[in-house]
Amino acid sequence: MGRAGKAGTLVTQAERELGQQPGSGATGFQGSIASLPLVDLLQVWSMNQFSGLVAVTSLGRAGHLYFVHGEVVHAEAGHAEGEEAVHAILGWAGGSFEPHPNTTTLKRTIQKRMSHLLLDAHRHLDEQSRDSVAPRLPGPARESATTPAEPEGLDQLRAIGGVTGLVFVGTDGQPTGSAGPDAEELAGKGLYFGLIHAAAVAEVFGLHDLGVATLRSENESLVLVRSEGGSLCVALSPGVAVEPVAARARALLAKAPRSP
Amino acid sequence: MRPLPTHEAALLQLGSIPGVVGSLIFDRAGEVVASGFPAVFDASGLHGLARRLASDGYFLAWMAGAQAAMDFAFGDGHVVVRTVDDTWLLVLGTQQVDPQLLAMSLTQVMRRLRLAGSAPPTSPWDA
Repeated sequence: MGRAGKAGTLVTQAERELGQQPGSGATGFQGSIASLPLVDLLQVWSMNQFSGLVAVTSLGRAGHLYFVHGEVVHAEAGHAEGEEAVHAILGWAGGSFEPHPNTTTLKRTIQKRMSHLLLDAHRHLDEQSRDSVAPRLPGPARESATTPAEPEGLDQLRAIGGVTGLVFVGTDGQPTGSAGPDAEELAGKGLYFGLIHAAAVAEVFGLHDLGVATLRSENESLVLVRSEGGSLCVALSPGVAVEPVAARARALLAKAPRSP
Repeated sequence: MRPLPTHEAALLQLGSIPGVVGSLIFDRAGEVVASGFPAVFDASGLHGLARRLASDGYFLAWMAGAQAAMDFAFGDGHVVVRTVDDTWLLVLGTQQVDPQLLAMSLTQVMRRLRLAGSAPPTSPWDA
């Protein structure tokens, strides 16, 4: 099944979730954020290569998300624009939305891809919930408490044949070490894999303490190893065995002292 | 979709592996096609998981293709997901499950499921 076919399935699924007749999405649909998480809907529109406006309302607040070919390019919420507006909208506990496929904008306040955007939104929401229950630590202490250095010895993993990328992500969701755009992308994928998929199965089966998660797909393979200080995400070429890399990564994290 | 005898046989076979708690097959619509979980597992929870995964764009993209696989090793159990044509097979095991035995069994079960999926419907007289 091609990408368009998968997107069609997603839209049909979303329409079913929203109590709509499959196919009615051609003229747009309305729904409640409470019936399906807005984050999930963003993925649906992303996979569907949606272009247009999604108007979101919640408790008298209004937000606008503008899509071009499945990517959010501009957002507004009150006086906020760009990513700040996306964070605000995704932080709303409930509300309703209405897609307008034929509405567009010339503004470009968001350059990030959807995976980055969602990862940053998760970080932002995590920080908000942390700050709401705990007093903010002074700057330097907060920095040292939440931004671990990259564990030593990871270059051994980078040297393994078939390893195409590697990034260590601290408990605050921030990549450490020599992070760049590729590392950010990998961190986004790895954390999405760990936060969304692993969390979903853990919740249903009552499982705890994710140690290792591996993914093999047609285009890439991922290894996610969790430790006290954060998560190690390793990208592999398709077809490369993930288990030996996962085992080495886990052993390395278990014994590696932290860089000063 | 009603569970086929092949589905039920596959889940029974997986359930006989020491350490396997249960397994299920779900489709692209998020419907649970067949379930081999003990009754203590809430059916609505299993259904909700199937719907959640099947409606996740990244899950669909990553789990396309015959070789696609997800494995989660938790402190108190393992969950593996495999792609079988247009469905996914999910297996829950305890920490005691032998990964190699499970992998070999999965290979056999998935091969049978794929063969059954590609075979023309059989008439009652074939049995």
